[in-house]
Amino acid sequence: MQKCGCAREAVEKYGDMLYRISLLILKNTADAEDAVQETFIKYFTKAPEFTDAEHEKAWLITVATNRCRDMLRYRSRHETESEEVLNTYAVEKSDSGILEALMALSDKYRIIMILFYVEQYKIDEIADITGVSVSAVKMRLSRGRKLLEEKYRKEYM
Amino acid sequence: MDKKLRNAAEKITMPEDMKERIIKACENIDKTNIERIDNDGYTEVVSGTERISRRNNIIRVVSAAAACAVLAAGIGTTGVLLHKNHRSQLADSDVVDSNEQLRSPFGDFTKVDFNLYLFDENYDGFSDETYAELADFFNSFNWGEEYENAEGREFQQDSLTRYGAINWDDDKGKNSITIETDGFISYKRYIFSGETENLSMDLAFTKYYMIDFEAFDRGIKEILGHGGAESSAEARISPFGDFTAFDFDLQSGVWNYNKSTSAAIYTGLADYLNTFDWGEPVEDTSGRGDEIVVTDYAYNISWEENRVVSWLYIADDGFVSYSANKYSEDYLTSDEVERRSYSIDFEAFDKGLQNILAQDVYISQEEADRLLSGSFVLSELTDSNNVRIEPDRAEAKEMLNEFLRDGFIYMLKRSVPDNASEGYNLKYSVMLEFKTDDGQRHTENFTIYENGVVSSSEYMGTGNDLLPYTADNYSINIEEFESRVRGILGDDEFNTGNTAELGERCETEGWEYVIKSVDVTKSGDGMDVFPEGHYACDENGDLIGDSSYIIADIALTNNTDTDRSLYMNSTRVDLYNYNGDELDFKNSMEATAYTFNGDRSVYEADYFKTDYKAGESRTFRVGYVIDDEYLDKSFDTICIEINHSGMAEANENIRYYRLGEKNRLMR
Repeated sequence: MQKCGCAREAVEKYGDMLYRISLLILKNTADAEDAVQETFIKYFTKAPEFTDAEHEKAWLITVATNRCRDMLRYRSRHETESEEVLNTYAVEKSDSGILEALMALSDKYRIIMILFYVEQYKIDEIADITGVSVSAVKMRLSRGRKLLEEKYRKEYM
Repeated sequence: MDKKLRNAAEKITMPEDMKERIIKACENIDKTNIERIDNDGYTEVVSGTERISRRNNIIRVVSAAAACAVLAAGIGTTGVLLHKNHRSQLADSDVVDSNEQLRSPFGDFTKVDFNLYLFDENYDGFSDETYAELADFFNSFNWGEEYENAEGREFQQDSLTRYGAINWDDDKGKNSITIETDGFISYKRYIFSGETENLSMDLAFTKYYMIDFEAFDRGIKEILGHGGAESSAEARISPFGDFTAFDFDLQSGVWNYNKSTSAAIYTGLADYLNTFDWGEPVEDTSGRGDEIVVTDYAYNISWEENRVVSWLYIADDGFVSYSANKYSEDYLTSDEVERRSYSIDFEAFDKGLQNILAQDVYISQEEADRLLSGSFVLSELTDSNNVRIEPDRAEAKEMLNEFLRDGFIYMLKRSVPDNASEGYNLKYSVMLEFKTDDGQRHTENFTIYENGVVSSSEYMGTGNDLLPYTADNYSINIEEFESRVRGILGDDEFNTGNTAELGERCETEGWEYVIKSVDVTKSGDGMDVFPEGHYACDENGDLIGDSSYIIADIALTNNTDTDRSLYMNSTRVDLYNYNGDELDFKNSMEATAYTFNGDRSVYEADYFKTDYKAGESRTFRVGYVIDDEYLDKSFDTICIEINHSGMAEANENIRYYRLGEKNRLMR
């Protein structure tokens, strides 16, 4: 698939998805905006030709999650502003519990969980997108789900 | 909960003002200002869902070959030979007449020569007795009615649900049954057509069934468990199963050992885990049985078989937690299958394991060849801020190139988990570019973290359209890597402004030096030895003790318009090593001998004082005596230091001539 070359069209099409993923990983709106913006800039300057829409979407997610991981690494070295609470922004209060539970998980579980449960990618596709093995995705998914369930039930039910 | 999570997450949308900002930023991009290769200072595995992994391709080819033997129902010789072998021997045995209990919709298995292939299992063939038992089992098993809701589903050989296949031929054609772990059965019948010499096969029909897979699997395992698989008849297996029969991950700290580990290590680990004395299960009175609770484990072993994920945690006080959960196909739900605790001799376990892991190896030559495939084009080393690290000197550039494409690759070791870099900072990036035989660009990109983990990603393509192929993890001794790089680049103390190579011009305080060459020798060669020198030498000035001369041929010019004097003992030979991040000064030798234009010494009370007229140039030789023990050691840096004032700290007038590797000096 040829890139459309139109920023508005691409941002309208993929912006919400990339922002959702980035925000859930980074837990900070400003960082999420940066990650999404850098992803789109890369998309318009360096993206390969895509074979279909799924390829294009997966490429964008890969770039965004890599950028998020880099920002998380940067955070480990530098102080950042305090984490923003999702329920004050864009999400209804009734939904904040499950998202807060998700965000309490470590990064390695969170990224896999978001791609599987929110973006509904299959395990092998997640392995391709994140660059980890299928077995690692399975393990993180199963472990992450168990941790999420415990956390959610314990603190939000 | 899963839907709740999705519903909640889907409500997150990007605010309109943010969208507008991003759109504006994208529209303002000046594409021509963007460099051809992305290198933002972090690992970027830019991939789509159809990413092609060369290693995966190999696996697929192997799997496909195996599947051909299976699915083509005897087209390959493997199946034919197997069934003829066991059938011929069965002919004389007591074949059970199972007609009364025949429930198989595929016919009587006792009357056909079939083979059973189990995916993801060690397959060494089964005995005739085992085949006889399997035939009875297949005959009596409840395969159910033909399944109408297959909705075009076909067996995929690389499916996560694949389990096994049964194949046989008869006079008119071939048959293949594939079994999947959700109970889905696909039965294909092929018939021969055409003349004998041009025989072909056509698919006659496909039928589907849906069985109770657990019952089927249990029946198979019962048969194979008592002598079915000859290869495991004598083998000892652990209370958790046969570690040689499944792919397991063993993690210790950030180091991981899995099927990518060298075969020798991995097999050794499997055998060790099988034969280790785990003892009998004990009651967990500590409440540490839950693997989430146990966080003090020294080792973590995990594996999966047919969606049963097992975890084994071994704590350093000997507490062992084992648990297994059976997951649904989509991994949304799970039920605990088993949970046990053990108490082991941890010291013995740890020692045995470490003995095996100590054999951990560097990457194989084959893997190095893969990483280096193609004609070398260029290499790049960048730091954590994505600033390129590049020496100015041509020789050092070539040395760095050589190190990155050769020494660095052979420093890589296997056995690193995919998450080993998490929480660690990026330190360096290495990019190697090659040109393949078919004209493509092949780049290997390595991201090196502070803990020595190296994440690699491989790209292939033409022009600027590079697509990711593989991603992998290695480890490296980061201190050794940095030491090697520093050895090539030097440190801030030796920079382009104050350091010269032999033959190069070097100026300080109006004096222009050129050190043309350096020799290491015992011979004084007419040198005038420093009178108070305490080095043993004969009447010719040749050294007779455990020391040697480093003799430098120097041209020196007074580049000013005034007459001046210089003290030649203001030059020294210095030895340095890097110790971690610091340059570790080891020793320094003052000049001890001197000749001037072939004449003997101009030695005076002020050592080697030489007068120069304005603009005058002279050539001479200066000798330094070095203990031979230093020549026997390797040093990162050997240099001649020119220091007229003798001040050591922050002296911007100091100049260095890098003498290079010791072995080059002694040629």
